[in-house]
Amino acid sequence: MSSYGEITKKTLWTENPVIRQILGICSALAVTNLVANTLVMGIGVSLVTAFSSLTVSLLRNTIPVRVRMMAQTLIIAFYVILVDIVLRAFLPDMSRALGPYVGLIITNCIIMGRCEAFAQTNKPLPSFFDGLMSGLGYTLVLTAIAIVRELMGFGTILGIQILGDWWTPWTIMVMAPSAFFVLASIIWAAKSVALKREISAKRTVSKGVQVSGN
Amino acid sequence: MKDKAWFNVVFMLICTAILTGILSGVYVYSRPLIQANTRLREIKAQLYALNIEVPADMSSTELAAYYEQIIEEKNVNGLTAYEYKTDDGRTQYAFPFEGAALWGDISGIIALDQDLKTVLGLDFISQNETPGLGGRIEEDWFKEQFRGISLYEEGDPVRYATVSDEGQIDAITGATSTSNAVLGLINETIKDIKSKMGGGN
Repeated sequence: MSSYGEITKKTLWTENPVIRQILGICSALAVTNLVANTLVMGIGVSLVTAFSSLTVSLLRNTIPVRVRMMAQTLIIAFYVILVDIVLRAFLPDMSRALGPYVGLIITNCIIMGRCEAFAQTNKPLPSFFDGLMSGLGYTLVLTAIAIVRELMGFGTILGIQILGDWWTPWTIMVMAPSAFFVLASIIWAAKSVALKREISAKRTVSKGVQVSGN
Repeated sequence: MKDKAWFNVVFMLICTAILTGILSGVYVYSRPLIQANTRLREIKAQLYALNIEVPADMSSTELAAYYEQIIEEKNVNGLTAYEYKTDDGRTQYAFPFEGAALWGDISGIIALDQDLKTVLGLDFISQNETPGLGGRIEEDWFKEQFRGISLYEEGDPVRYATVSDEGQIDAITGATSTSNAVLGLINETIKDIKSKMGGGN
């Protein structure tokens, strides 16, 4: 139905889960004060979204319509617990750093949103791709927020000192409220760009009409 | 058949059974690994608190074996103590502690010298404080402050340095609640240790 190129464009930009659909905001506030935590959270969400979408799509003709959301929640919970167990067994340090956030992946609206909006009506492979790319769209925006917050809050990026001693760290940037300001600024900038493009696209179309009219 | 109510129920039951079955399998398979990781974390915390140097290239199994050789677990009046004898014949103790901080439970190890008047070190095993704020209790600069501090005899054994109090350690800026909770927990632990160990020594 949808081509892979179209899915990529939609999930990363025109229908980006965070900046256009305003989903996944809870974790956008919680994990973005360190870039490293954000990246792992992003990978976790991407994998869970991709595999949940794949599973929902495979079962889309079997799951009864009335209980489909229950079934989706069950599938998502299954993958989240799986990620948690794998992290605890093979990456204990990362598991310690993320703590309760792994369990909170399940509350991320993007995952269920993609299951409902895409996987329910599409074939398994495009659904898997859509989930993966939605997670990537989420990760990109969160990483952008995290870079601003870590840089201004600690003077570092990925733990590497970037700003010198002259920089006074902003404590507000370490705390959750600052993500509101940074996120809002990013949404503002992204919407402005998108709006400009839309207007210029319309102009081209109307010009085209005039030309063909002549 | 698919729009019947019983089918919905049966479908969910089967789905739940299959998925939880798989999860149980994965969990049982990875449990030894997870337990080994948890154990290793405890061992490392005890050795860190006791300030025992461990060669960096030691494997986890070697470390566990080394630990078994030098540390002895004791139970004193219902208190778990890990005993370590130094080369010059002193007995040092590491005690596990656990309690509520700002967002969740914290557990860790605190090590005291033979006379219970000096802290050898402190390490945390698990904590759920705000990353970057309260979570900084796990950073070395915070933990290293506890090395070798003498405990106060009167009042709270460990105190933060404030304008009115000399104190031994610095709190974490911007994480007052976590700092206070951690200190409260440590002081309670030390008082408990002193009351239970004090007589026997």
